[in-house]
Amino acid sequence: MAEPRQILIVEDSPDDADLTVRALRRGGLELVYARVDTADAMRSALQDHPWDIVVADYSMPLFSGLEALAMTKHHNPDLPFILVSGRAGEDAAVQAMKAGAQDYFLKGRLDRLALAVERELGEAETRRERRRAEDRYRNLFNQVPVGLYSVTADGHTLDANPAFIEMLGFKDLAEFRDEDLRTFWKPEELAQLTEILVRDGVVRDFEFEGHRRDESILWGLNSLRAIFDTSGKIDHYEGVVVDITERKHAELELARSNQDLAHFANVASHDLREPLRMVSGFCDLFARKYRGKIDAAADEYISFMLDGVRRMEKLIQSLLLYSKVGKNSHPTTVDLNIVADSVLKNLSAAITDCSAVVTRGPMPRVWGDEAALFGLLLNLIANALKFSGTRTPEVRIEASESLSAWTISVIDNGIGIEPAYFDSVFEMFRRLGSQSEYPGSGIGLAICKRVVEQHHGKIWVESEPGAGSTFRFTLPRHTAEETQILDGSGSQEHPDTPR
Amino acid sequence: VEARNIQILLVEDNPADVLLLKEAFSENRFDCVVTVAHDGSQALEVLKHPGSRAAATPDLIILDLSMPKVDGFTVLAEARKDFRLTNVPVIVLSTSQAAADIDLANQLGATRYLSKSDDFAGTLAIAREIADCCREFTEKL
Repeated sequence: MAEPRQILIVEDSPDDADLTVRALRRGGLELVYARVDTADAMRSALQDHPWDIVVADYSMPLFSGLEALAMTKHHNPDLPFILVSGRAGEDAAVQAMKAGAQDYFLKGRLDRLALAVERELGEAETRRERRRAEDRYRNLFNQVPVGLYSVTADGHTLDANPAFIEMLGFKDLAEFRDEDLRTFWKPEELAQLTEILVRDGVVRDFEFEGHRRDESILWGLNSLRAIFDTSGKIDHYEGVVVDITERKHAELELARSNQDLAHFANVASHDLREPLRMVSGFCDLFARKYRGKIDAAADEYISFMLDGVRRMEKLIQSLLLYSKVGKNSHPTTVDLNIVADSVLKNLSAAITDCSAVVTRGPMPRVWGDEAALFGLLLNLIANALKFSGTRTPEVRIEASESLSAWTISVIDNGIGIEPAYFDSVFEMFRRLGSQSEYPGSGIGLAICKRVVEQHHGKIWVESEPGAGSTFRFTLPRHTAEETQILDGSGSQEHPDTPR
Repeated sequence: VEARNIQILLVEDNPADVLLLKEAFSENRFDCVVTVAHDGSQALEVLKHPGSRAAATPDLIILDLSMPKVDGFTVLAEARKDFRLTNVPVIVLSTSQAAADIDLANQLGATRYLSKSDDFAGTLAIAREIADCCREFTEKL
C-alpha cells in the first residue's frame, strides 16, 4: 500500500473534523492529518509539513475558508484545496471555485469526498509533473548556450531565449521585440536561406554572416524549420543558432597566418638563396682547385663545408616549395589510382633498394590539384619507406569513404612515432630523427599539411613507437565545383566511385 | 681557334658571379675576352661608343636582369634598337625564375634565358651553353 495521504484539515469543530476523516477512511483512503483553525496555525502547518491536500470548513469563528484558500494557493498553487460547508449556498461554491478551490462539499453529504480527494491528488500529481517538465524546458531554453527563437515570415520575433538575444547584443526580449530579425542577416544570404526554407520547409546548419546591434560581425550556424497551422499554411519558423564567430575569426586568422608564413617562406628563400649561391659556388670552386693540395685536415674541412652547403640548398628549395603550395593550382577531377601508380613508379628504385612490399587498394576520384596530390602521396610513401627501421618495409595505401569525405591512409610497419609528436611532426623544420640517421629537410610533412588544407581536408597520424605509423588525410567528396559539373551534365553518376 | 678572340660583354653587378663565370669559362677552356659592365648604365656606356673599344661590338652579351640604376630589360631593349647590335646574341642570366621575367626577356629579344646555378657544377654547364651559343652564332656569320 502507498504512503498514507497527508491531509491538513482547517476546521474549528473537532467533531466535524472527525466526520470528515471518517468519510475519507470509509472511502478507502489511508491518511494522517492535522487540524488547524486559525490563520497562524495554518501558516506554520503549511510551512512545517508537506501536505497532499487541504480540506477546509467554509466558515469558522476565527478564520474563513476563503482566507484558508488564499493562503494555500499563495503557499503552493499546485496544492489541491476542497471546501466543506455547513450550509448550502450556490454563491459560496461559485466564489470558492473562482478563487481556485478544486471542489465544494456540503457537510452531511461527504460520501463522495474520498473520491474527490483521490481525483484531486491524481490531478495535482499530473500538474506537478507538467510543471516540472515545463520548468525543465524553460531552464533548458534559458540556459542552453545556443540561440533558440521563433519568428514570423515577416521577421517579427515571437520568442527567443537569452542566448539568442545576447548573441544579437540585446538585453531582453522586450528590448528586441520591435526589431525586424531579417535586417540582421546579409540580404543575399537571407534570400538564399528563404529560398531553401520555402522549397524544403527546413534548413540545416546554414552558415551565415550577420551583425549584432552594435554592427559588429556575427557568424552563425542557423537551422530553421517551418511550423504549420491547422490549415497547412506556414504559421511561423522555429530556429536554432550557434554562434561560430570565434571559430570563424580563428579560421580567418589561421588562413592569414598561413598566408603570412608562405609569404615569409617565399621572401626568405629568395633572399637566402642569393648569398648561398656565393658560398656554394666558391666552396665548389675551392674544392675543385685545392682538394688534395693542402693537407688532410683541409680536405676534411672542405667536405664539411660542402655538406653544409648542400643541405642548406635543399632546405631553401623546400622552403620555396612550401611557399608555392596552392599557387598556380589547377583543380580538376583527379583519379588517385593513376596518381598512386605514378608515385609508386617514381619510387620504384627506392622500393627495390630496401626490398619493400608496397600494396594499394582501390582509390577514389577526387577534386584537386593533381601535381600537389602527387607530391602529397610521394612524400607520405617515401616517409613510410624511409622510417622503416630494421624491418623490411611494408606499406599499404588505402581509401575509405564517409558521407562527406574520402580518407586516404598510408600505413607502414616502421619505427613509429611517440604520441607527444603527433601534431608537431607536421610543423616546419621539425625533425624527430638525427640528420645522419634520417637525412631530410624536415619540411615534407609541413608541405603535406599545407596541400591537404588547401584541399579543405585534414591530415593526422596514428602510431605507436615500434609498431608502425598510419598517416591519414581526408579530401571532401563534393566541392561546389564538382557538384556544378555534375549538375551541368545532368549525370547521376558519382565521379568519385572507386573502380 | 678563330682569327680574333671572341669578345663577350658581361653585364653583372655581382663581382662574385663575374668571378665564378670567368672561372667556369677557363675550366671549360673557353677562350674569350670578357669585358665586364658593373651595371646597366655602364653597359649602355660601352655599347653606345662604337669604335672606341672592341667590346662595343661584342660577339655575345651576357645580361643580368636586376641591377641598380639601369636594369637588364632596358639594356636589352636598347641593344635591340641599335642596328649594330640587333643580331648579337644576348643571353639573360638571372636568379629570377618568374614567368613574367622570362616572358618579358623573350619579348624584348633575348636569345636564351638561363637561371643562375646554386652550385659550381651548374655554373660550368651554363658556361658550356654560352660557349655553344657563341660558336653557333659566329659560324653563322
